Amino acid sequence: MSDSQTQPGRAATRRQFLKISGVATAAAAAGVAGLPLFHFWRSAHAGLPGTDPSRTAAKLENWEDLCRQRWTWDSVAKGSHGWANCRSACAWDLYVKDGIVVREEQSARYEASEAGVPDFNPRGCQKGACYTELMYGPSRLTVPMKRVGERGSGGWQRISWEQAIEEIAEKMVDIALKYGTDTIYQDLGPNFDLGASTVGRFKFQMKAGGIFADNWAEIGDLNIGATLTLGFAHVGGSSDEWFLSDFPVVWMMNPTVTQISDAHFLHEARYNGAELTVIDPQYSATAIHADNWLPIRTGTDAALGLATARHIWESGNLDLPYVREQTDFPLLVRTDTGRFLREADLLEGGRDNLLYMWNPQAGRPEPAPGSEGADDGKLIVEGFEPPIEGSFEVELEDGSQVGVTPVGSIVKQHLEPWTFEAAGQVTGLAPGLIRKFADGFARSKRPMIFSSWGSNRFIHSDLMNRTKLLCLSMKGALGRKGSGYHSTGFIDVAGFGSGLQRSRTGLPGRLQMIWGMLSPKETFEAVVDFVKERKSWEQILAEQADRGQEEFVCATNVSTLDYHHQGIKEDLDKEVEGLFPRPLGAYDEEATEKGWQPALPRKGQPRIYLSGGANLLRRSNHTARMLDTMWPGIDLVVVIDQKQCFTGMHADYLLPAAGWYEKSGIKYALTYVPYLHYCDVAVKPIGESKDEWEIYWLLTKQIEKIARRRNTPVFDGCGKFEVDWKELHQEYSCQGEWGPKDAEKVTQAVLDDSPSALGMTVEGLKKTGIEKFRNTGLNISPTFLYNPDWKGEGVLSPLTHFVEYKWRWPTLTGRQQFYIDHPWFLEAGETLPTHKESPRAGGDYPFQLVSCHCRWSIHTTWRDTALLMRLGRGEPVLYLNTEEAMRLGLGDNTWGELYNRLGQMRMRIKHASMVQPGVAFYFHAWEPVQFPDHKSYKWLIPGLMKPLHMAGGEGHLRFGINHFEPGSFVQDTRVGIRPWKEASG
Amino acid sequence: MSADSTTAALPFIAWSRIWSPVAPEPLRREAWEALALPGSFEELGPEFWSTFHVGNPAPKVPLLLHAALRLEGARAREDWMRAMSYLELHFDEFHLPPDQLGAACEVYACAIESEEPVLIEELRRRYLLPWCRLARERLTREDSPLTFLPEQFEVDLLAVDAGA
Repeated sequence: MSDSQTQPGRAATRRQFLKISGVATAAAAAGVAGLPLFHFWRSAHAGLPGTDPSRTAAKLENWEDLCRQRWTWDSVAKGSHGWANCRSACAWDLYVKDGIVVREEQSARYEASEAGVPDFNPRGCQKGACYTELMYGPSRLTVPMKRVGERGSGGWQRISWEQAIEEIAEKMVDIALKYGTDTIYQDLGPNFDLGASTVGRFKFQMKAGGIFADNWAEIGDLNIGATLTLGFAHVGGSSDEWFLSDFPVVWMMNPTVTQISDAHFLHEARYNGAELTVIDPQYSATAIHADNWLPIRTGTDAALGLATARHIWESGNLDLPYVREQTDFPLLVRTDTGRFLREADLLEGGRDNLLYMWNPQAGRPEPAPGSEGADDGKLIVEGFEPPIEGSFEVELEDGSQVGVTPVGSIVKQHLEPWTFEAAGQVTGLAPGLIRKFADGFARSKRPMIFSSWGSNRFIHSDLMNRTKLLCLSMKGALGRKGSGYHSTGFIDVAGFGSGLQRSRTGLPGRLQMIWGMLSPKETFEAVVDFVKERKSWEQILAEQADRGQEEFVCATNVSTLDYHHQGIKEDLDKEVEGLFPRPLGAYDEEATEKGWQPALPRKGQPRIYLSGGANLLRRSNHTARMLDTMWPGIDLVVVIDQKQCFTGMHADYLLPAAGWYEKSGIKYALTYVPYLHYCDVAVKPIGESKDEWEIYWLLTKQIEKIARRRNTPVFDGCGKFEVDWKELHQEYSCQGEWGPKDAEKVTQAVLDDSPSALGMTVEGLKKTGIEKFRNTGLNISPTFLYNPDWKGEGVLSPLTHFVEYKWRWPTLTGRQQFYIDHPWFLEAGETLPTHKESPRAGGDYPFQLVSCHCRWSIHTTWRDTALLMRLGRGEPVLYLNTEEAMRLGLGDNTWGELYNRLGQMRMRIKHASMVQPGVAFYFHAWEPVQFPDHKSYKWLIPGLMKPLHMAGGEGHLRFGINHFEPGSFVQDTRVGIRPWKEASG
Repeated sequence: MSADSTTAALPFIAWSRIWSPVAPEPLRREAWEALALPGSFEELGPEFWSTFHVGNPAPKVPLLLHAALRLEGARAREDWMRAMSYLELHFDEFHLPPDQLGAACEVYACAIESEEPVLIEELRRRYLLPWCRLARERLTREDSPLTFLPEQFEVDLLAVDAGA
């Protein structure tokens, strides 16, 4: 090329470039050196002057020859998709060439858990197989960015990491001095892992005294029904256990779509003789494989459950010994108050949490072993068999007589109206179909119900799940291999929790944590409790974990925050009006006043929002309110993410996080596949991105520097503990022992502190990618499994701790608890699981707007990946019943306008015979920018709150992260739909 | 390889520094001046970053060639990696997707310097010129002040003599 070939005016500047390029250019002009490369280095023999000349001789003759060259990878790394909020975990081999992942392949290294059960292979779906499309995709962030112009205006300017960290740290110190540290807001997920990067994110939040806002309930994943019944929200064993059931019931789950790696066990179970039932209003991808499909009317599942429970009892299939021992059926309830009979009723100064059962031989009530106030932590009743039916008289402490009756009697009476015909009226199912299902369930030996995270998104989902558990319990199915409830259990990787707390490495760090939690007196008492069998070791640890959360974590939940600060309080009060005896606000006030629900931040709304594994603005219901009410009041929004997202569009700073193949991680440990999945650093992070461990390392260092310079006072956290930012980095880095590039050491520390990962090392995992867990862990999280015997061998089946070892369940009654006698539940008529109609949220409109997780994305991750979008229509679509859509003049692929009291938005219509009339169905979770006017369906969803979930002060009804808290329920939303005409739009 | 080919390759070294997100700002400014691009980068910086580098689900004009041209990513990356491999180039301190235009320009510069007519012609035909046209059209439609960037880039591309 010559200068004369360029634009005339640019000839001089081309020469100018030669000049500017300095030494390299001069050398090039002399023909003695190569180009001044920035991104690359060139092999010494690459045909440069002075090197092997043979390379220059062979010119490429045609493009195809380029592809014919021998070409292979440099290395194969082991990886998984660590932060993905995916219910599966899959081992991948990552083929790396020149620092780029060029191919992903299923590793298929899993073994069968036991003879006769299929293995887990191959695991891995189309999303994992194309993570590189996301990692090397157009939304990927590569350098730190600072907002230019108004928030959301789309203006960005690249800044250096130094500038970003300095500015963010300075602002954080300013804001903390003004409002306290509990104004720093992070929601917990839903994307996170158990490795160094999430340790960094959470450790910062903990050590800085910021608030942990749990979003389990807010996103509708928290199984409150299970918490109310069992004392914990997450239940489930390994997915190969599915194979062992003879009557699997998929009841609000769609594993063929959402659990692609595990679904085969369900289908293989049919070859093992199982009869597969799917209960779903839609003819789902799982339903098409079922023996029985029950197309139930949306939101009426409890009615079906009640009829089934009635039939189990009526048909003589109630497992009486089990029910007597493991459930609250024998516990006595006062007929005058509806409350459990308590020691406080019988004796002056008696305990309020010691409950009773009837001793027919003695003709008097006896303390129920295992109830919260009992001296005995086991459920074993000696000397008599407590009845589960009957009515009796007892004398109270004041000498008066009162009638009492076992819970079983109340349950039986409660079920009486739920005939097949009655349930048919409510559910829209033919009574014969209900009978067939109920009879199959009642006669089965190993019934199993699959009730996924998605089963928690109606305001009355808790009632539905309590009903399902009632059916299982009456069959004695919980805690028995090959049967039970699969709502997702977790292996406890306990070192993750200690990784957040520790301020020192090694043994000193561990001892410091233990001493910080337990005084010598408390340690002694714990040992005595264990020795005397008042409490199991699991219970002691769990109680300490709960206490730790109460004392050392500024915990709150997203729904409560939204209710108080999003500007939706009046709307929600109105939506819930009439559903409960009192207004929503009254419950909120009482819960706050009594300390049942946290009221954080203490000084108004959050002022700093750090987004790590979340996309808050995408998922916020009534999004318009979030954008115009809470968002402007946040002084600093920092999004730390691998990709730009809708929340990032409205942020002040974007910090590029390393991708999942670019950082050391541990995939969170669901029980479905009881293997630890390690994510190796297969390649260097793209651009200037860094893993979160390093990002927070830098941030704490700068904050500490500023705090020392400005001599900031010791903060009081959220009123629970002292936080000194002058020592923040020392705390974070374990007194400087962990540097910014020490993520693998941090991950190793997580492994070292995890009994479930005993002996595992990062170095070993780099070679294998996976290792089978050794046991279920310390079991200190709210998700634990209660199987003390599983040591990495055999199918993992949960809850044997109670059923085989007879330890108490962590409920008020110490049993599977179907009767909730909290005053709020009494006044709301929800003491027992029952059916309540789904309220018409958003107004009285004809369509119920319901959703399901998607096959082609995990929330918004992959939702904009072109390769996967091609598998559908490539944009958000609303599924409508074909005939109904035609009747409304909504042609396939035309625009429909959805509207309700909150506003309107547009989606393309897809005709689908799988959808019932009256249902507007979508697979979530599109980014708002993928809709016209950047308005998603979230604009129309009020997100109902159930006031009963704010209850507290009694047994297991207490606020806790991932345990019990108010959420926001999306599936009750109603909309109208009409053809969209541009003129009206 | 000759001094001429090195000289002919130099504009693409400059373009590489324009398009790369990780190029240090002094290098980018220097390249801006050397290519005689109008205005100053300081003035156009925010528009530049918002147009080419940040976006949901993608920047207005993605600099990832596969994304802009709606090609399968793995295929585009492999083409560029094969070119890298043929030219014996290896990522240095910063890694970028191989079809990122900044990295691609450096590969292209090396193809010119190495006097590889097939690479010069095919990379230009398959990727670089189509990107220019797409970017030009999109920016023109939006009346962007940055339309001159793909225009000038295209001029430089067309000026390369593949048979040199």
